[in-house]
Amino acid sequence: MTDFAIHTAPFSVLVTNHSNKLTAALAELYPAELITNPNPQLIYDFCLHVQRKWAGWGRPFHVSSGDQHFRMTDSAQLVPVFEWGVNWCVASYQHQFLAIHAAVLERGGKALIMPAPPGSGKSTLCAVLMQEGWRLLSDEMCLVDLTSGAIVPYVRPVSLKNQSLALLQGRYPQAQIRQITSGTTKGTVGYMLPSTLSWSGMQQTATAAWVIFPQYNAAQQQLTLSKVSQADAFMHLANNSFNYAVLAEQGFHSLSRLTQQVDAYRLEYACIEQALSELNKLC
Amino acid sequence: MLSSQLLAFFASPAKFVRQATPQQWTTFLQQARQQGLTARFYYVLQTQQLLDQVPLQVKLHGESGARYAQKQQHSLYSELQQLEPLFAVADYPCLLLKGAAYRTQALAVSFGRLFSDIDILVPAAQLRHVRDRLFFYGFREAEMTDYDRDYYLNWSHQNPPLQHYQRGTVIDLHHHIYPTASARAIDITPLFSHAVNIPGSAFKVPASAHLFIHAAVHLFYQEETHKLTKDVIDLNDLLLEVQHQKQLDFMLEQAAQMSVQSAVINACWVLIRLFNNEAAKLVLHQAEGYRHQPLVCNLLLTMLQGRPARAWFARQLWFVRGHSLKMRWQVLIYHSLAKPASSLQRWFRRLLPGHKS
Repeated sequence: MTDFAIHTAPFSVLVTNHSNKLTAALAELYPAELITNPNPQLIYDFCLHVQRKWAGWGRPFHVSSGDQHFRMTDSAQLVPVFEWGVNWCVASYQHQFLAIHAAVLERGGKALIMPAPPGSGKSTLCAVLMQEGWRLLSDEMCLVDLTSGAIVPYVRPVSLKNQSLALLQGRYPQAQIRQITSGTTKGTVGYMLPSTLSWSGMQQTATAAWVIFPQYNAAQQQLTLSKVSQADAFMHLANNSFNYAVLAEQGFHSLSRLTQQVDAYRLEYACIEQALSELNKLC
Repeated sequence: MLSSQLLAFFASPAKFVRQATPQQWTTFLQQARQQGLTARFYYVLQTQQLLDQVPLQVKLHGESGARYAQKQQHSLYSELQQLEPLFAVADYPCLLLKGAAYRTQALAVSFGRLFSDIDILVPAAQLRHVRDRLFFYGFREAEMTDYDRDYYLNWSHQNPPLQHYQRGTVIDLHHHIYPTASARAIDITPLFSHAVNIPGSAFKVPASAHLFIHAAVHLFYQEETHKLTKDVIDLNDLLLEVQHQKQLDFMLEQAAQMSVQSAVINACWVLIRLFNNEAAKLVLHQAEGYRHQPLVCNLLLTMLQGRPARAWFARQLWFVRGHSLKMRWQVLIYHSLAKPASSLQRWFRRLLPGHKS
């Protein structure tokens, strides 16, 4: 048993853990000060259990939160399944923020939000922007403070998949990509470490300024950047939200405010260089 | 102890808030989430004006849960609105049960209480008619094996769950509150005859006394244990509601008429032990000639408060006991053999060449 806690503001997770491999792997992904022994003097937001249990022919790892089972996995895929498990806890149980499935980065106090379903190139673009000096707030979840409207960071390692791993490694040889796991339900997955700037600003909120709906399209000849109306932006953000429907009136007000304070665009691209240059002009 | 922190909180919220350590709050949050009681604890804190005394983190998670519960309640009203025209033309009583009934009556137990389906009770003779009408309203029966479907229709107290093809809402359509395969005959005509109208609605709800009786029967005459803590907390609030509505004597009369005194008396005894429920003390005082069943009650307390190994053992006994109560012995023997045989048969069929899953 190597129980530990992860303190990635605004949520902390207490992990009951049966895998030494997981402990070592997470030490590669998170700064040492964010992974600690459980402290009885702290209240933890979520509890995750990583346990080996008998299941038919073998004893795979079971990732669960209390009685709520998340996934079963073998040792090789434990790291991605664990990371998804943490996302699952936050997406399922927290409604103190409006949560949108989006990557968020910041420059000059202003936040760029990139909402998109999986496969649109959101994480790739997010990783590239972080390497270019933007501060990462999250590659997965845009948290909007319901009272102030501020964008709250939830800094975690950036999850990269399949071709984007090679692309990022080729483009930024100094980038630290760790724990590459092949054969997962999402293909090959690896984690890029957030920059020092991103970790050090992990509690520093930003003001929403731009919303870009990215769409990677290999067949695209020329990049297109088109303005999206406030009404369309609102609906797309709502559709990409984990808990818009739960928050009801508060969700509506929060999203209305957000939509009114940003410029929204749709970005269709095939070349990352073009996309980067366009975003630099825009933001 | 599965839900020790939760039970301690609901037994005495103010005391728990005063004494809880951070470690206990962590466990408490986890247990509340597991039992679907996050919103419920938040409303208790709010009602007892304790919100300012709990750590911010606990308050924020409570608020999160309350938002979710509120959304569910809006969905319930919206769904009932959709169902109104179907039941408005019915010339027989249609009763909401459990969560939906508590909510439409705005009972204290319903604040922050989560539910997964809408339970409706209609007279047995009308079950097929209502089910067929629900089919036309877009509900369909979930996929299940022939054996399970037969089990529902012949031995349980409800139709197989009905789910709306678009909205996903699940309706449990009941014709009784207890499986018909049981040797125990529970007369449910009083539920219909004493049902309370919901103003402006075609639905009715059972009297509070009957709501408590139903919850007690559900807990003590069946084998389910996965939401045990929530069930006893529900019972605690429901009994206080029965007392508030001055129906304690009526409840005892009804329990005798329906032959379910043991469930009611056992429930009251357990509520005294767990929550020091004053209404339960009055009931036991009134029912002097009728004693609780010590073995059954202690089994329940062991599942809730015992050490893990003892609680596990108690759950196995409860499982066997629950089945022996809800099925006549002939049915139980048949079911114990036929259910595994049916699973085995399906497994073999899958091995046959040309089988499509």
